[in-house]
Amino acid sequence: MLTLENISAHYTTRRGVVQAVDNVSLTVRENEILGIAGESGCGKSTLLKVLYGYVARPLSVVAGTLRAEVPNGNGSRRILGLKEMPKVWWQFISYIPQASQSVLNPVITIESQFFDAITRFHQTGSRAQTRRQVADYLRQLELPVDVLNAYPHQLSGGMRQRVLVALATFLHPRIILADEPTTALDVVVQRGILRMLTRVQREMGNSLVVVSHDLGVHYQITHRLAIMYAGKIVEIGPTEKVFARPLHPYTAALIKSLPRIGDQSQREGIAGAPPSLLNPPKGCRFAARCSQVMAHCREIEPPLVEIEPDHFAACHLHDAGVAGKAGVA
Amino acid sequence: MSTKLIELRNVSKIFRIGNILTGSELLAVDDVSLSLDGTSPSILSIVGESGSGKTTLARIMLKLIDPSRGEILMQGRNQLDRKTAMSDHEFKRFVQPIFQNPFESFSARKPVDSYLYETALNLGIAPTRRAARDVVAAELESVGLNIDNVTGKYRNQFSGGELQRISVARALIPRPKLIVADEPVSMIDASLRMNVVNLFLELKRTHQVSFIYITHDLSTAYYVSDFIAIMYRGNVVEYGPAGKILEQPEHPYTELLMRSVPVIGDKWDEDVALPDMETSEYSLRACKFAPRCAYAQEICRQARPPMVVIPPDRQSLCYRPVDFRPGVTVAAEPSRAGV
Repeated sequence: MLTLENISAHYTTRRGVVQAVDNVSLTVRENEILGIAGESGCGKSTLLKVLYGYVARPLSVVAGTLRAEVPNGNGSRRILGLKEMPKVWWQFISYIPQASQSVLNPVITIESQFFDAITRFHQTGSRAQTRRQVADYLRQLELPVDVLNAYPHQLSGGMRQRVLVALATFLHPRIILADEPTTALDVVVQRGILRMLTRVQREMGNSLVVVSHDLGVHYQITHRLAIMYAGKIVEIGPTEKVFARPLHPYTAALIKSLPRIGDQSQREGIAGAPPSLLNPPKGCRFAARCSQVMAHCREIEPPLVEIEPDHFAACHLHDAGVAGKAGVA
Repeated sequence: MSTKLIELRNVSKIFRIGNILTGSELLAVDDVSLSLDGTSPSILSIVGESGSGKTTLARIMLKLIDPSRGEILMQGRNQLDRKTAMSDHEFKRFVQPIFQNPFESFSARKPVDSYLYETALNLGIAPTRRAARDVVAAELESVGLNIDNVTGKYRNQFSGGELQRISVARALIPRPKLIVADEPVSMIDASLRMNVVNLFLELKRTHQVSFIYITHDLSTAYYVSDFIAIMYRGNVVEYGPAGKILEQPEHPYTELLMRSVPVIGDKWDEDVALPDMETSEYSLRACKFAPRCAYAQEICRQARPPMVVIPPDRQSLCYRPVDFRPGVTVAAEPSRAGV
């Protein structure tokens, strides 16, 4: 439904060109929750912006294509490219950004924000009629209708985030993108918002793409999970499989490092730090920190290949010659 | 009676918001009593969500702000009374801070190691710069860094994890008895986080230093601590040994927190709706958690529950243990100063 092919996206800065996303291919399927995980600076938020077609300086897409199959409403579909995406924002694809504080207009009420967003892309009846529709939708989502009269600063962080989810899903888009939708919120509030997102996705049968650094969140809600490292997808597969049998040493080490309540056994972080994306190393970008590194890892970049059905990894441990003794810890 | 390393007695902090006529008051820390034993080094985590008062409590312990009410004792000495308070110099050799964002702890314009030299020289740990170099090298080594890889470098030449290790090395230079670390790993990537947390465990053993670890992250708190205090809206609602508290929560709020942590390997039941709405709970005179509590009874909405002791070593700010468990006694009456 939405496909990226060999996308490279760069930021031009004073210090040079940051290769934030490098040769990434990804498909968002119908009716799925796709997670994108990785550490700060791995390119996960940039990838989400490209999916949304929100590319503005200093970010630019230097290679690759985006292909969106947008339903026309009469059963047929039209194909759109990266530059045409803004035309179908809200209706076909919507985006829930990271900081709810800074996206809502501080000087108008929540009702006006709904009205502005909806009428820009979608002709409806009178304002009173729209208000009724919005109020019905908020009730469906178990939100108090009073929020319509409030200004953004009068709402708590959790409530603002819920309002954003409601706003982004009101026109029933086929794809919802959410960038760290619960970062900086309390865990109890987080659970409530994740429940709201998954309920909306289940009821609308659309696709939800969630970027988060928190693997626990991905385990709880996603169907498929992509792990990014230094601008690349290093592993992607069904979430259960990625956690049960990680194929990339980075994924394996990351999962293993997480402390768990009920288990006080020693946990180790990963030595070293991610490479600079101003001048990324050749070969595998994780090689310098990998406990199973081989000589050619530092020379030849491993491609992302299907190791088991629908489960892909970019690692030389799974090359034909080494496959026998592979087995990522 | 052994002397406590640090002891807070009925500490409260009120912030005034807005101007004197139209402003209101926020009770950020509400009648908190906590202590850390001095006999052997230990790690106490103070766990709470944003707005629970945990950072305010850390700032009170570091004497960055004064409490509005209550007493702070360090090694038995009242810190709010000039006659018994530690001097600035003594205090800095007793307790050292580590802050949340290591990129803000160091200036972009000064080499990172200059902070370590300044600490060593200003606090009289080393008489000369040459002697200071030995001290700095030794403490960098104890956090797993080589002085040659640090000398003369600026903050942007390090990762967050490395910088936080350097903050720890700096804090170790005066050989403090206590380190207060406010969210020290929340800005650090997951793959590097455990390296910093493991360092605390190691330093507790090698340097005999105790830690107060302020965090919102229950799993690292569980991993690193001997004791945990759970804060909610300015109150410590539950206190006790780390394992017991998180494996078998006593207070309904701790229970709710535990059900909300996204644990790997234990899927949520999607249909459960938890009471997560935020209301004006700060100002409640009764139990602040009552509006969201599944077990709340009439009394919970009328009067502040007492801190009760659950033998042998736990405390909970809740009426429930009194009703449900034999052998439970009241530890501390709520301060009469009240809200």
